Amino acid sequence: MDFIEASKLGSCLSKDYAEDMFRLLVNYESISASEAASRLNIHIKTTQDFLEDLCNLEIIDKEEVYEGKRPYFRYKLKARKISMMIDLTTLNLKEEISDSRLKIRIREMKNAKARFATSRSNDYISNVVIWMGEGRNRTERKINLSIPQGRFLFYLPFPTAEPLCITDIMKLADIESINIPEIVDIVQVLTDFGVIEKS
Amino acid sequence: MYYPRKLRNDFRITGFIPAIICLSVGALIWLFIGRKEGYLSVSVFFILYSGFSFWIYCRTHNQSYIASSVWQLLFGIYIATGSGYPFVRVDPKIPGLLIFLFLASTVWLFYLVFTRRAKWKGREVFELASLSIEPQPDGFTERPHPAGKTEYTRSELTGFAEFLKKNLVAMPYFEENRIVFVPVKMEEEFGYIFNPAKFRESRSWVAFDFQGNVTVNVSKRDYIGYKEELSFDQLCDSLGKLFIEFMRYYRKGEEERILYKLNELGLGLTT
Repeated sequence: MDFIEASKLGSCLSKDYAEDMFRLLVNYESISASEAASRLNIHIKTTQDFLEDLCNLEIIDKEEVYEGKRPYFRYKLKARKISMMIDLTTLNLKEEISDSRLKIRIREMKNAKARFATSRSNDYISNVVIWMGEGRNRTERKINLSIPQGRFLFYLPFPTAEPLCITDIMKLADIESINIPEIVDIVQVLTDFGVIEKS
Repeated sequence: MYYPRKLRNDFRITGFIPAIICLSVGALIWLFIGRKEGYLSVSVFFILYSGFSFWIYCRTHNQSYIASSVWQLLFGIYIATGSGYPFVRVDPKIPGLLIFLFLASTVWLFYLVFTRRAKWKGREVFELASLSIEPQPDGFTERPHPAGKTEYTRSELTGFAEFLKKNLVAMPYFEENRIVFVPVKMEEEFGYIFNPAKFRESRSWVAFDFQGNVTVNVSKRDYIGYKEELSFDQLCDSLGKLFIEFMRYYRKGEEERILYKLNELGLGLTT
């Protein structure tokens, strides 16, 4: 199961009516959304969405039936057991990071609307506060950094300095290659926020 | 040698404020109360101010402040005893001795002032750091800049800190794992003396940690003190290298070169 499917399933299971809904699906041979909604005393749209989500996850099947000329769906339990197994290693960006991404030359953006706070030991950046919007609508977003990320940003070239590639900055900051994914991640985030510029 | 000035001119008169207050108060008392009381107020002011100068000497260990303290004390005592309106009756030989000591301390003080030993050298530090920096706009960032690594022992660093403090080049702040040097410009010294912690908040600094790493931070306040927008990364780098060079001179026992380099710029005695 990939993470997106798992999150949808998790979302379904976390509903306060989920257990009752599954009880109905187990005990009824098939059930329509209106039957389930009236039985559990919840809104029919809520029930319909829930059942559709389960359908997409292939936990239940739906069958179109007619009452007179009006078609509607009846839902039937397909899986008697649900197991959720997520391979977290697939979230590792390392495999997606090509040499070309590490060779992108970067530096701090001129007039970046961001404030860098240093750690107590003063040898790395502990967080970046980014201001977004203008005037009264201005909001700030604070990003707390891991120590390798903070050390990386400590050595990030200044706006008027020559840009350096990610690997060179990592060498300066003495960061191990095991931290590459988190470095690439923060570079991407800060690029999106206009704090880092690529050349 | 001529060095182009990159910092804006500073027309502040902070250093003269105590003298202006003293003379104004003395003149007002003279006008509204009497001449003798006017002298008395000036005398009391100078004696109190000599205590203040001595306090600064204790903070900085700069000998110009002990010279000022002695000069102010002697001047205050002279007004109280040797002027045409003595408040304290003393042996007739005492005023003569006082005058001699007063003149001697004046010579000492003038020597220290004209040899720039009484000058807070923050301005010289920033001028020297910016000598070869080209203008380049929009470079400012609040991030500190890693300026490199150099070698020194902990005791050498402590000695270096004492040297820079004593010669009013940069005031040291001792932290757990490093010493931070904050250059103080002339006319800003009272800010440092009265509240060093607050003074440091918006100032530029150079930090030497106990592993040999040197970090620089140029504050916005000091950056806009330059006439032009200088290349910010080069400025930080240059300031770091300047202090690394100072440290090298200090370790070689050639610390006088530091003062020579700063004094060579020939900036005004009161700026």
